[in-house]
Amino acid sequence: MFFFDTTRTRNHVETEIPESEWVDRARKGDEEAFLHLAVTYRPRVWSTASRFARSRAELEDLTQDLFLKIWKGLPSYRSDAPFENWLMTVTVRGCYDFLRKQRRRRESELLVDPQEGRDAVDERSDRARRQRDAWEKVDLLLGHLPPKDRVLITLLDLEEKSVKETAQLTGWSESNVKVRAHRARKKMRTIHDELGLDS
Amino acid sequence: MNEEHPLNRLFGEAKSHAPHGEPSDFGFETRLRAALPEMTPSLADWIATFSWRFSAATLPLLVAMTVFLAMEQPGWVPEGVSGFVANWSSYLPIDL
Repeated sequence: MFFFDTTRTRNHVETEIPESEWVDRARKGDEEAFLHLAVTYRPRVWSTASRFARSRAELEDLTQDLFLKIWKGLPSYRSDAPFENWLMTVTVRGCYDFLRKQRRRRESELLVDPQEGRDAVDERSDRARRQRDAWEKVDLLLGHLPPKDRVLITLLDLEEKSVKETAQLTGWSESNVKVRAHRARKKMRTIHDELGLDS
Repeated sequence: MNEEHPLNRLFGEAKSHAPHGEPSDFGFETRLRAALPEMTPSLADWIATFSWRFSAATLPLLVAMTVFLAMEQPGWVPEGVSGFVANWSSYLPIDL
């Protein structure tokens, strides 16, 4: 019913509020403001976290945990830096913590059947299939790396971040990022050749 | 990076793939809304954080108090300890 549809007016007003205002409200403990920010940034956080989770259910949980970390850390956010940068820093560090916690558990678990969930994947084009196959191989190789290297390679080679951006997101020095990434790529190339993944 | 290695081609193709598809809007806001109140620190959490932050300042205060009591009331501490404390208390930055 048009006469009772108050959401139209509310949404119109909400879009006019600048992001800094939403952030300020959320920092003061306004849950509605935080939920607005969470909905806005969810695709960004989801996209980064998806490189570290093994299943969609795990990714849903990880995304939620990351937003809870962001909520908890909001009082420490200083508005002199863009909010998105701070949010992605918390996200990347949260993903690193997740990898470290998961590593031991993963090693003791059986390997997940790579065929699992394939039916759900979009198979409409050869290109999509090639991209999925490439991801499965890259994921297999990333699984051989320690969490720190995995985060670095994901940010540099999959998220296409620069060394400087990666250093800022992780809190590690640029030289550390360069050296570790070089060694990690070398290790990945060696494993790639040993496993004959090109065939 | 070694441009010729097939790993670089894999990276190129893999970066366009979304491993678990797009996020669905169903339930996200509701779950997060339900979890947020649990994350709000309680009074006990606040006191715990406060006491932890001030533990570094509490330690020298505790040492100074122990030294003072040991010197004022030598009978309270085991034999020999008060003499030991008296010797070492001269190194403290406060006059006891």
